[in-house]
Amino acid sequence: MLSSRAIRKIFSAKLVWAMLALLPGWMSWSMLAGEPGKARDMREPAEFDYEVRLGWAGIPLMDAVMFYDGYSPFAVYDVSWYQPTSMESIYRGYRGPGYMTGIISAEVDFNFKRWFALTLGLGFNGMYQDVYDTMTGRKAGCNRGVSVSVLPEARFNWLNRGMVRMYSSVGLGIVLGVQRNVDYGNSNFVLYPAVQFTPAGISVGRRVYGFAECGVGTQFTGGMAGVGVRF
Amino acid sequence: MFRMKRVLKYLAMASLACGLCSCEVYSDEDYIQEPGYIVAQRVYRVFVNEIFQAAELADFFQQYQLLRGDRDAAVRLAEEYFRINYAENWDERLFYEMAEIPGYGYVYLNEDGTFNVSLYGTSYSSGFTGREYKVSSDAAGHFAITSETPEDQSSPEWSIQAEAACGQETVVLENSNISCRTEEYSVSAVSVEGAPVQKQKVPVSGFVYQASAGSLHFVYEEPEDEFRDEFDLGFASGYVTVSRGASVLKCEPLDEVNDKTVDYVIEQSN
Repeated sequence: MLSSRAIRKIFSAKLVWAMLALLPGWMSWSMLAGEPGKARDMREPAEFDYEVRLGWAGIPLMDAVMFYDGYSPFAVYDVSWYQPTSMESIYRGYRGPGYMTGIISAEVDFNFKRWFALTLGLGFNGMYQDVYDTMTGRKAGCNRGVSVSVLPEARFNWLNRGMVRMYSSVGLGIVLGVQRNVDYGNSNFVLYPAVQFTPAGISVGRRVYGFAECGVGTQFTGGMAGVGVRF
Repeated sequence: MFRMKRVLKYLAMASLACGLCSCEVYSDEDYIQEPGYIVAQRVYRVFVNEIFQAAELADFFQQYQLLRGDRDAAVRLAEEYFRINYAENWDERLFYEMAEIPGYGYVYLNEDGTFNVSLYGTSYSSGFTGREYKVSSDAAGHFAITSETPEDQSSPEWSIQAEAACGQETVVLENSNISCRTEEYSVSAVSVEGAPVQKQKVPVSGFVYQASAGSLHFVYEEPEDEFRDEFDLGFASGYVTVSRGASVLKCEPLDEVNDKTVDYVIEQSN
């Protein structure tokens, strides 16, 4: 079970709250700020056929869950959960803080209409966590993990005005990963679905642009930001 | 345009915050680790607690033998000794040569006057199943308790020798030598001279899980890895201590049901 402590810790990062707090104002601004007379028909073909984007996302939630306990998708990393299953496992090392790179993603977008695009994204997340000797407290090794996600998405531009686009997207893909635990002396291969929903995102710029979006899903939860090129 | 810039500024700040937060959002806290505590709580549950239970069953059964012909007195003794105040069909539980005590187990009278004790609570998850305790007595309330691995079993193995004295209020393990071994590890828990382990008796306090005084010396070994650990477990009222030389950890009391694996240290000295 996801402990309340873990949930608190995740949400205390403030990123979810910051994005959620921004969302209503952001959406209402985008609806009201436009000039309807100048808007082109959303059904027209897209101005650029392709886009390439590089981004960095906040919390790879499922990776966190799976990296820290190793096998259960519903348990958490927290040591309070850790229960030695056998007597000899009591003397295995204990784990220190865990760190992640966050999702580093690259994607190619295929713009079919001004309102619709299909994207294919590739995400990377690296994880590491020091392991300490239970008897001496000294560092005994490092658990490491890496995951790669392949995420096709459908993106819907609900505002597309020259410099500014606002959009929502939904995607379904897979995440493949490997995690090596020195304290257990094993490696886990992980495979899980990447289900990702972006309620709101914004890109600013014409050919070269910056973007930011908030997302919820197994690939990441929180914010993503980055740059892109249209051609 | 001005509003848009402001929104973008907030958006950039939020994105930066989310990126920074992701770096250490999952870090956990530092805990004082004492594997000895976890070893001790398992050994206590599987072995030490059962020695106390075997001693109390034997103590009851010894008293019962003196009045077993008087059924009313026998039932009264059973109810008072085990503080069982619900309606039990004692006729089906109290026989001359055998008694079954709800919540504890069975005790049998052998022809040579010794008892065999078989407890309900023998922990199946530990692998040390099928244990039966042989109890002999050289004086009222004074028992020698032993249990050995059955001959047809090779692993896990155990060997228990203990002497227990049941007084009016406490059960005292005057000396005890517990050892258990699997293919991966072995553990022994031996009485510390001058610090007999003692626990409140059931008739005085109801069922009390943890001993309240005394010490056990533990040795844990993993032969394959040539790993060895030694420590003392001290019992007190409401807590236990794990000592390694001058270093003493005051820890949460042992629990009958749940192993504590973190946040069990109350105080650390030295």
